[in-house]
Amino acid sequence: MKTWFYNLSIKNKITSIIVLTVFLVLSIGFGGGYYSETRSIKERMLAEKILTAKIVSSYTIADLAFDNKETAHLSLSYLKNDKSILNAHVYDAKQQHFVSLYSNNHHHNLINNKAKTFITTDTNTQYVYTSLELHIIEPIYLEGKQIGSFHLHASTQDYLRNLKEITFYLLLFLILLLVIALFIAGKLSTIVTKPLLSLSEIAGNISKHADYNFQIQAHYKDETGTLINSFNTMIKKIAIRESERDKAEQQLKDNEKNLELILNNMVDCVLTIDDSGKVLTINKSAEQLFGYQANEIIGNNIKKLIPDSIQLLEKHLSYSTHEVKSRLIENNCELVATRNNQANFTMRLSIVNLPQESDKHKRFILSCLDLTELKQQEERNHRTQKMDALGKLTGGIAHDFNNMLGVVSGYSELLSSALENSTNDKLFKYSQQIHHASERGAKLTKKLLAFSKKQTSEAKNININTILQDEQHMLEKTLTVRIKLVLKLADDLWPVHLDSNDLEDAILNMSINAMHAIKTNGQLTIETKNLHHQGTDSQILDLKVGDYVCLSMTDTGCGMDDETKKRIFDPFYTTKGDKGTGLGLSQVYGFVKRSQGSIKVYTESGHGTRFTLYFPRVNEPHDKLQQTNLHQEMVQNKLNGNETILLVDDEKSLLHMTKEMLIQYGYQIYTANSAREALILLSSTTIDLVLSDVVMPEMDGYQLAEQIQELYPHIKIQLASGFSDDRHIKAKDDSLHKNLLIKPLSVSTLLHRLRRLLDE
Amino acid sequence: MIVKLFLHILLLFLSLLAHAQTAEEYAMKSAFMVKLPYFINWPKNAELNKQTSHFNLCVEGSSQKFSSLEEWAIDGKIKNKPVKINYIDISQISLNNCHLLFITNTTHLNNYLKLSQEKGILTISDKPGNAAKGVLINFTMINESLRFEINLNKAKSNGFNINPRLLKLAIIVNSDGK
Repeated sequence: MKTWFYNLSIKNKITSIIVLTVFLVLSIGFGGGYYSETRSIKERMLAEKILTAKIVSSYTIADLAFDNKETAHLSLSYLKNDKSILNAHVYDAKQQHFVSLYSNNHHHNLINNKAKTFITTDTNTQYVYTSLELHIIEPIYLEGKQIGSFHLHASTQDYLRNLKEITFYLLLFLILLLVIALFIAGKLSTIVTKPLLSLSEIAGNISKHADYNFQIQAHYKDETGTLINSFNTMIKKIAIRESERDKAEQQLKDNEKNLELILNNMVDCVLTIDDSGKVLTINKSAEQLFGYQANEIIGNNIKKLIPDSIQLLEKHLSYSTHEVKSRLIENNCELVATRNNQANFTMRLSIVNLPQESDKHKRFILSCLDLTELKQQEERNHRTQKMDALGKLTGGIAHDFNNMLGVVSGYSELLSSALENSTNDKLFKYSQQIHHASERGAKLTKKLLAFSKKQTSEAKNININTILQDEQHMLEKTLTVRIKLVLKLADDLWPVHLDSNDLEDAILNMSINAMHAIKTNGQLTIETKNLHHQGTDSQILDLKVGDYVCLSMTDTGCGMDDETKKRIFDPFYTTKGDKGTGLGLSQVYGFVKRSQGSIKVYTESGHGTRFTLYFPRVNEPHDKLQQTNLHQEMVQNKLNGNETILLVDDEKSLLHMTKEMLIQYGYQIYTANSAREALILLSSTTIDLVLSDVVMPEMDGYQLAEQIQELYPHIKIQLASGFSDDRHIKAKDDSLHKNLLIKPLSVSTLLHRLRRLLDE
Repeated sequence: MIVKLFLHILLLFLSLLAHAQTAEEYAMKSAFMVKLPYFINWPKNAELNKQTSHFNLCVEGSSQKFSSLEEWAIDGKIKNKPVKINYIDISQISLNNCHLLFITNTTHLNNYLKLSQEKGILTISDKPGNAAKGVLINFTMINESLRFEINLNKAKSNGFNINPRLLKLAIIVNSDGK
């Protein structure tokens, strides 16, 4: 009941209170009035009946005194006018019945009356009420002595009827007043609740639309006015707080977004886990690395991704310390992880223990870095370093050896020339054998130099398709009929800048390898195509972004195992035993690198091997292959001369041999052992041409040429070198590099070049 | 003899019966007599209204008939005064100290009436016709019930004021007998 009342609306409460109060007040008032009125009516009726009794009894005094029943009847007959009188009796002093009105049953009445408890008034009148009747006994006195009594028996029906009427009207009036009270209470409570309801509705709208700039007008200065003012103050404060909160929320969102952005754009993979190893969050890099969507892995155990990480964590979990700061507990630990496709890979893992929030699990940040590419890069670097070291070693030896061969070759040529016209054929044959041996040595040296990338490059802008088409017949012959050669040449193949001789050697080397790999019948497919490299596989191909011409040679041979594949480019590594030199693929490797290209090998044991060579595209059109016919030049031109030539070389034996050769053809020769010495000599001697080695200590051939051109512009310069390097890049005159003579120098080549230069 | 004896017995019975009737009748009359003053106001100049300690009820004749009256008079009161019963005869014709006079003998009726009128004495008798003769109240038997006649004119002329309630019971007669 109490709860019910509390749950009523204020309007209903006020109405209830007012109506209840009115009801109580009216009930008390009406109850009092009713009681008073009924009492009054009752007393009035009693007084009236007692008076009647007294009057009638006084009338009967004489009748009774003189025992005259007739007159007594007459006296009682006056009562007939009163309809409420039921009967009346007169008794004498001995309580013997004297006369009656309406009833003869006087004796009964008397006895009944005696049984009742009568109330006695001051005038000795006795009366009693029964449910519907009033009994009055009035004593009759004569000279102070009771001579009888008058019994009056009246109905209270009229009294009750009056009472009922009064009750009815009172109730009617009460109901009417209650209705009026209800109406007034309703109106009054509306006055009170209307501002509250209005306030409530506005508050509801404010909260719904979150418009806190609204202010309610207070019309009155009562409690509702105070409430509205307080409400206005409150929403002002809420508006300020909302604004601050919105800002803070926005900032928080921005921060969160920013953090998410950072986290998801981090190269490193980041995961958070709890102390049970359950994955809590995972960033985009980690999703990509492990091959799972975030929702697939969150909630799973970390050992699904990194099986070994659990062991690492477990030793840290044993500490029960409460971490208040972040702590790096594992740094750059290499582990094997598993991708979604069950492939294992090596990764580097760092673990940070996050500050522990109270009543929460420990949390850890796992930062992972995929080491796959790094490992591959390391491997490539390792190979490159190995190749470089081998190249340097081979190149160093080959350079010195080449110089020595130059001396052997030169002198044997001189010796042959001297013995050519002699009668001693035997000596001439010996000198010829020496010269052949030196030529063979020169070829070997050239291969070594080719691998060490120090071979002199005669690079030109060429189209690989042209070379392949020229070489097709020769290759078919080499491969024999059991191996079918298939050329798939791209139309409009871009030009490349490379040494065509080297390319021919490389193609031949790879073809020979293919032939050896194909035990019975097979096929060698040579394919060319243009490739725009966008950097997606730059790490694997080891190429810069750009356009490349791609040459691939695919055989259907036996393929290679991993061990072989790792070592194929090593010089002197061969699978052919004594039959191979182990320099074929070394030459290919050196040539590709020298051409700023890249080589990729794909092999499957038992199925075949594919070598793919990438060469950077050049934009210049193809140089016309100038097929110079040295022999014709020799026939047409005189090789002798009398000009003064300065020879510059740090290798004295070679210097001496060249001097001997040129003297024989009439030239005046000066020699200098170094560039410095040459410059000194030039200052005091008139020289027509300077023939200089490139690789020299202190000052190289290009630097010397530069100074000579500056000091003595009329002097012709010819450079010669056993291998190529980057020295020419710094040189101002590119023609020097283009006209570079390659050691060991053959007599005819040297004489032709010198003559042509001197004649220009 | 037997008849004579029967007659004697009958006479005796009748005599006893008559005596009994007479005694009862007088008892009734006595009762009436003491109640009547209650309804009657004596003249202002009457003896009763003067300084008197008793209500003197005078009975002319023998006292034997009024034994019940005497019994009643021992502690009875009339007009709030103790009652004194005086038996008078003609020698006491002066009717001094009488407030009510019951006249049985009509021989000296006029004297009594004359004196009563003078002295303001209420006169009562029980002889038929006496009311018309001037007695103010005269007992009479009607249907075996004791009733009384009132000579209202005489009463008024004698200065008596009679309560209407009493008049209602009475047979009003005048001096001419009507």
